[in-house]
Amino acid sequence: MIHLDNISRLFRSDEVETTALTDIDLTVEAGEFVAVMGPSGCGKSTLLNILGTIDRPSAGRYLFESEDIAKAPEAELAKLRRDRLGFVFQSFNLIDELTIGENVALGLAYRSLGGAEKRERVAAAMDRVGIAHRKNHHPHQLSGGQQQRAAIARAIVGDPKLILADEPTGNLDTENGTQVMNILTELNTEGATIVMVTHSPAHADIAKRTVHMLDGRILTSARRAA
Amino acid sequence: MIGGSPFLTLYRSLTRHRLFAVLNIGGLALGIAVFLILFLFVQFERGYDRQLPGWNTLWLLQEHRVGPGESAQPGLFTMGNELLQLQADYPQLTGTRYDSMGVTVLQGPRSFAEPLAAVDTNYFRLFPFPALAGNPSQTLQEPNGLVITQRAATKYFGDQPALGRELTLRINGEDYSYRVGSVIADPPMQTTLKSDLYVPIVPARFANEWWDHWGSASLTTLLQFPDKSAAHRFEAALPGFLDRHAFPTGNVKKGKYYQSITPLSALHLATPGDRATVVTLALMGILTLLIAIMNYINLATARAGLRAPEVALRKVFGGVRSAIMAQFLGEAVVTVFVATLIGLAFAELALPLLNTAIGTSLSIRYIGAGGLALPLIAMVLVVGLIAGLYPAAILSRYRPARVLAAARTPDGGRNGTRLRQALIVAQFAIAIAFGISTSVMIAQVAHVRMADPGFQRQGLIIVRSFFDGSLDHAAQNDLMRAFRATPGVTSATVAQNAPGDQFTTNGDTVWLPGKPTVKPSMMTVQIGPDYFKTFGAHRLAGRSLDTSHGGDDLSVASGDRTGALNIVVNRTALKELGIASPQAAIGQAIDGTRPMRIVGVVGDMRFRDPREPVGGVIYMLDTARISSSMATIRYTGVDAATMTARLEKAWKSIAPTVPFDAKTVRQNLWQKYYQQDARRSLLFTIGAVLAVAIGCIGLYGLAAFDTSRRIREIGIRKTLGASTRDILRLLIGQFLRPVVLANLIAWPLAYFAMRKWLAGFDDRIALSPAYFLAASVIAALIAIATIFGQAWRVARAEPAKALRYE
Repeated sequence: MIHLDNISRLFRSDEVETTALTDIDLTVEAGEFVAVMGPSGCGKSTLLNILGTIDRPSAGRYLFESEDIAKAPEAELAKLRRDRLGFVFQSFNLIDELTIGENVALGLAYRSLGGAEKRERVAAAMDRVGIAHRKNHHPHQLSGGQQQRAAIARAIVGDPKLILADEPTGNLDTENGTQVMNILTELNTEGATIVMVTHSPAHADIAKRTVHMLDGRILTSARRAA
Repeated sequence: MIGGSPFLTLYRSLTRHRLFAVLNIGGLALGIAVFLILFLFVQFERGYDRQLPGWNTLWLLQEHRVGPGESAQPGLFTMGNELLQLQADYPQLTGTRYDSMGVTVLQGPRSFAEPLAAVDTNYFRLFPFPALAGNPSQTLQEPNGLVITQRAATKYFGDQPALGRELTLRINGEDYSYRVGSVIADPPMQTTLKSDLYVPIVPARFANEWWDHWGSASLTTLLQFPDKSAAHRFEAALPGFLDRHAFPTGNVKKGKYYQSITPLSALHLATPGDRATVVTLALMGILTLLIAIMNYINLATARAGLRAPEVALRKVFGGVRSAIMAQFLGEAVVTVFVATLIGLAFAELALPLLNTAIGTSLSIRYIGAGGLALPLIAMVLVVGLIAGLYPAAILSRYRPARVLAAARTPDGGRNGTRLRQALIVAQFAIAIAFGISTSVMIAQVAHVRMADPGFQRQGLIIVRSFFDGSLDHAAQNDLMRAFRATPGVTSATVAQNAPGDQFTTNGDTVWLPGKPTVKPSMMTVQIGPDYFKTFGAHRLAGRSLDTSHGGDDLSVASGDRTGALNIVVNRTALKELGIASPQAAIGQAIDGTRPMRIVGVVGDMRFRDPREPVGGVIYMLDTARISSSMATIRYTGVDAATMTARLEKAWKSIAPTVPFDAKTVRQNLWQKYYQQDARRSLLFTIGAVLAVAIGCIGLYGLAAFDTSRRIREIGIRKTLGASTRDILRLLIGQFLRPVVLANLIAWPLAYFAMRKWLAGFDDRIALSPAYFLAASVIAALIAIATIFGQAWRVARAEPAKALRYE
């Protein structure tokens, strides 16, 4: 599904040049659940951003379903994100001014679907993660766990092929973290491909494969024994 | 920073967010500059005839005529001797007369056309212009005494003393030698009744056959009263006075004629149109300042969040709400003070240009009587407190724990957002209303300049010196022959009126025989041959007047008042008489002071103010010498300057001692009627453009603030698949919403204001929806242009970078 070939990412400011990723080669097959681990600043989130096309590599090739999208135009990447990707962030990234229902609907806002279908899919996604009763609340009125479940509902409402989760349990307590991981596992079981950045070995163990990173490079990539 | 001086804190806050500081202070400074300039202009317009001591004791006697064809505006002239009759009935009444006329000043071989004021001997006691030499009141005791202004003294005598020197004045064709007995200071610009030469009224020189004729309009009669109540008591007695003196003569009729008095200081803005324009400009100044204040509040509340941590820490260290409010109110006052200084600088820089453009002498006086220093300080305090109150209330309300724990800076919440939206709506409503009004005013001014006045304006020169009393009939005929023979001249005529000059005509009450119930008052104009041809009038029916038809010539028919005089009338005359069509009018008899018969009908010719309706006009051919007439020349093939030079050469060959005075019709109309509206429109346009600019500064500031606050949201939306175009549509759409909403307020406001303003014009444009749509579309385009840069910047940002923003 995904193939990264010699991907690098440099950040340049006026005085400093920082290498976030160096010569990354990574393949993710459809249906995989990959955990990415490593210390802070090792490039995990940058890798996830590039996978999600919300950041561009400085060099290398990025094949998404065999199509090189490393240098694709912005409009094409927007379409890819809209139709095939779902995102879950550590800090939820819900929009404060919108209700939970509206936040979830944002996942379909840029698709040409009818109003009834949109409402149906939003209701199903919220039901799926157990927050349907919070539809009319604003994010600040919900607990962290509920907010993250709303963020997952937003990520899955468009039925994406690939879900990218950046430390989805990082801001949650154990119980809420477990709930979120259960949802992700279910989604993977149902066929979604998931790439998740995490600091938690316990949550990484739930994934089918763990990629370890250090200083912008992939050190190891190990599959969990069946 | 927390413990530092409040001013240092303010300075750091401003310099840290330079864009906001520039927008905030710059917008306010611009608003203050516009307010100041319009305030000065309104003060200037309202300041006429208020310079001399005792100005508020002077009143003007005015006449009102009631009936069809009569102007709704009162007449400002009275019969020549009315003051004497009044004083005979009311011996305590103080008054004076001012009779203005054109004369020729002869000084050796030189001659000059000058306006002259013949006044009563007590004139300078009521109008105490400072005397620079001699005693003006004593000078007027002498029949040949002459009072001149400093300007005239310099013109005629240079550096030499003027006292005791003589000037010859040619008055109504007779030469009189006058001796300068006093030199007075030049009257201020804001003086309505002013002249450079003053002589005493000597009836033998100035009185004509109308001097004692009720209903004639010869001169200005001024009255002095100690206070308003005395003036009104006198006004209440006027009907009785007219009953005793005017109505018994039969020249004016009770119920169709009355008199009133008005303060002299009200004379400059006597017409409703003038008053409405000045009120509109005053309103514009206030509203522009209001827009600028709204801007300040908007940007200050938007920025309030940036100061939240500081407020929280001040509270943590013991700051109470009142102290924090005081701090931010103080900051607002200081900011307004700085903006006022900059606004004053803008105004000082703009005033010389503006004075040149609109012909005023506006200046800012800081100290002394009418000085602006104290009002400005008061304005700084009031505007500072108004502008600072809401932001101070918002800032001082923040709760320290919540602010310090929050990941994001507070933004005032939904109420803050709503307030900002409401203020944007209000700002743009005012700006769009200004835009609509400006476009209507510009279109109306252009219309009166370009619309068909019923005659061909191009290629016409008026020779005004033709009415000089020293030109006898033979000289006038010689001049007309010389004009007609001048190369380039295609036609020439003489008449009592010309475009822009129509003050020497008379009126007549006329009716159709057998229909005495309809008796409109109409203007009668004595015209020479080729009148209609020269002006290019539209002939609607019948023929023109010429000497080949018996009964056409007033000079021939005047001896026999029983025979009908052939006349030409205009279209309005038909309407007023109730005649169905121009064709139906031909051959129609009319009764008035003499029997008349209509032989021709022409379209209305607008020779006067576009605000005034064109009344019914009766044209009578007169081949004898027409008193107070002007010559009008139609020419072709050369420019106006060349033709004027040729006409002057012809003039000097026949009347070398009479100064030649000629103007093109365009110049004459422009100076008399169009210039003032054009100047006010220019001022309105400048004000409207600046008001829109200030609104846009506010919108830009808000867009900058709001888009920077929403960078993370934009990142989320882009992560979820929004394209750059989606984001642009979202941001621009959201900012345009209040602008669109503003139309709902602006359109009715502008509609009612402009309907009222246009009602002041007889010849006016239709209040088309195009003005409203155009102003709204332009406002929307300007708003889009203002926010596009900001929206484009954030819409193009990489989502990953946007998500890292906070």
